[in-house]
Amino acid sequence: MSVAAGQYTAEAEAVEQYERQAARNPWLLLWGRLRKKRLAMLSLAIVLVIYGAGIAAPLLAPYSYTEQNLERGLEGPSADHWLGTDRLGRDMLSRVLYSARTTLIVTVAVVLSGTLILGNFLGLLAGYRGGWIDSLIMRVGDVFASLPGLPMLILLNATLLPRVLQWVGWVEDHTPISGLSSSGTASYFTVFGALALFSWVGTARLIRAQVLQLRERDFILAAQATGGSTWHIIWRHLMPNVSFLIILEVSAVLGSVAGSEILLTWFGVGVQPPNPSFGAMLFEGSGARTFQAHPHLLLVPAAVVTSLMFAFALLGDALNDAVRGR
Amino acid sequence: MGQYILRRLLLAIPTLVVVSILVFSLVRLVPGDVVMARLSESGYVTPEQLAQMRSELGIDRNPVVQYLDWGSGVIRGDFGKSLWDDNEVLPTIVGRMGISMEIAVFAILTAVCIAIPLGVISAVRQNSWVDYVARLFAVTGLSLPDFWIATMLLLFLSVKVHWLPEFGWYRPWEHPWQNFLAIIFPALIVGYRFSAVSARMTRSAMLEVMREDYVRTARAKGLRDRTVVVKHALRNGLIPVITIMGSQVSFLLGGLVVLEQIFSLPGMGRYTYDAVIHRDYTVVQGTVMVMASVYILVNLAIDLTYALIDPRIRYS
Repeated sequence: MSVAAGQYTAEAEAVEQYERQAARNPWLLLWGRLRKKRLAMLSLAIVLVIYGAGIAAPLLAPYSYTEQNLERGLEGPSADHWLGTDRLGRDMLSRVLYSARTTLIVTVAVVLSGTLILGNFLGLLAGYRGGWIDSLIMRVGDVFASLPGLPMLILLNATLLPRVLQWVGWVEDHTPISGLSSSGTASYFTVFGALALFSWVGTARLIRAQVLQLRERDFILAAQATGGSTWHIIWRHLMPNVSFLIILEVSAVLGSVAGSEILLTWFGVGVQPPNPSFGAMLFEGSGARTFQAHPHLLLVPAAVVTSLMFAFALLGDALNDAVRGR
Repeated sequence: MGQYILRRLLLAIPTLVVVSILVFSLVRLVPGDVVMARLSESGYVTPEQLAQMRSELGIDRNPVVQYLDWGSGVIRGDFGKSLWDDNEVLPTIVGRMGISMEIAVFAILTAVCIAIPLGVISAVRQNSWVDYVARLFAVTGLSLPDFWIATMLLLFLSVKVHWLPEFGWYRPWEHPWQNFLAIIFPALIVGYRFSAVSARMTRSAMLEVMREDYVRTARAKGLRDRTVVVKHALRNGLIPVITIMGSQVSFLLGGLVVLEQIFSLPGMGRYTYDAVIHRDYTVVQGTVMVMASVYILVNLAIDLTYALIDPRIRYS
């Protein structure tokens, strides 16, 4: 009896300690909830593996993604080339690893700049300051929202790419920096710039709506009464209160940005060859005859893309539930 | 209500003016112009010939003059002529939009027929096998890009079934069956994606609504489950679903470009895409203006629908 009571007390203490920690650190609580969801953990693992492969691509890739061997083109999986080779005899495994790197660079850059910096900051500012600043930010948002997304992305990429190439060339000529053109930085920049321009509006609207409610609360009035500046209030008081929304938004945007990059490249206006992208790989492998003769050309990139997209969707769902305490 | 609509329409004017300036400038920033695009296949052309063609098309004038000229035309309903093939822009847009709209209507019908029942059942029977199947359906639809589903479908049809739908578009009143075959696959693919988004939204909205006091009251009165769900809960649960559907309608106009390309359908998205490739300024400007206006009107319509569904919402 006493043992059972002791166990109960120990458990209750552990729960209490956890709750105390959670009250101090809500992230711990969120992680605790998320950790219990097996599908979410599996999804997180898939995202981490694919992104990790992208980061470590130069170390992991057995060949360069541009190295051609025309005599060994269109080979199936073998000991030399684990995932086979493409039409030009390039190693598919290396192409996949570097494509993961492209997805990683574009998604992280767009989410950081478009969602986290631009969307978050403009939403906080519009909601808190109100007045003409709010009107201006929201009207600019209206303009971007009303533009047809895909055709505008195509137009923007067509407009930006030559200019970015020119600019990168200038930077290489006038500074010690080199290798920007050959590493494909210009086309990454273009895709990321165009996507970031459109990705901030949703986040800004969401954050603004939340801030409109928050700014009427007592703790904000108190901060204002004690002479807190706009930046101080936004940074110290509003930001922590919208951070969960930001997490949800980031998880939703990651998948759609990755999908957009792949789509744009598939369409021929995204990341330019020879830089590897899943979009280009899917395009190359998708003809009916090609698929019948060399199914690995399509199946390899498709399997990675599908797992990544599934993982993003499931992780987003689980995060949503965890934040809402379900 | 009338005043509210008027105010919203007036507010749309500055947005459209900024859109027009933006697209007018952007399309001119694309390197090359329509003359270069038109002559790219015809071999050597003298600089004088190039200059003459530019002057005939009026694209060598001061950009401000060009903008004012084009803008005043748009206000009068004259979107100008295509620089590429000399066709009137507005009638072509109307024709092309009909094709995109046909796909959109089929897609939305598919989505409504699948998503709302699925979302409702999934919410009412939360955590049952029906719920799991519905959620798997939704996650799959959200994860797979349109072009990927289209590619796989065509591969399946050609490799396994040895049959492919007829590519291209047929007028529904002349060749109704061919027309149906041409649009049904892109419509189902988009419809599947919509169903996924909407079913998820319906489920989540219904889960919230089913916990409301008035639903409990309705049950306490002894109403049948079906009446409570359909008459009491669904009506409120539909509001976020309509928002999602509305945003998808505006996406459809331009967003179909990929499927139109795969299935060789001459819709609005492809018209815009080809115009960007041809540097056909008037067409790009015209299509973007029309799509932006449709977006604004659809959003207004969605807001007005809220008031129809939920009498507590009033606009003044």
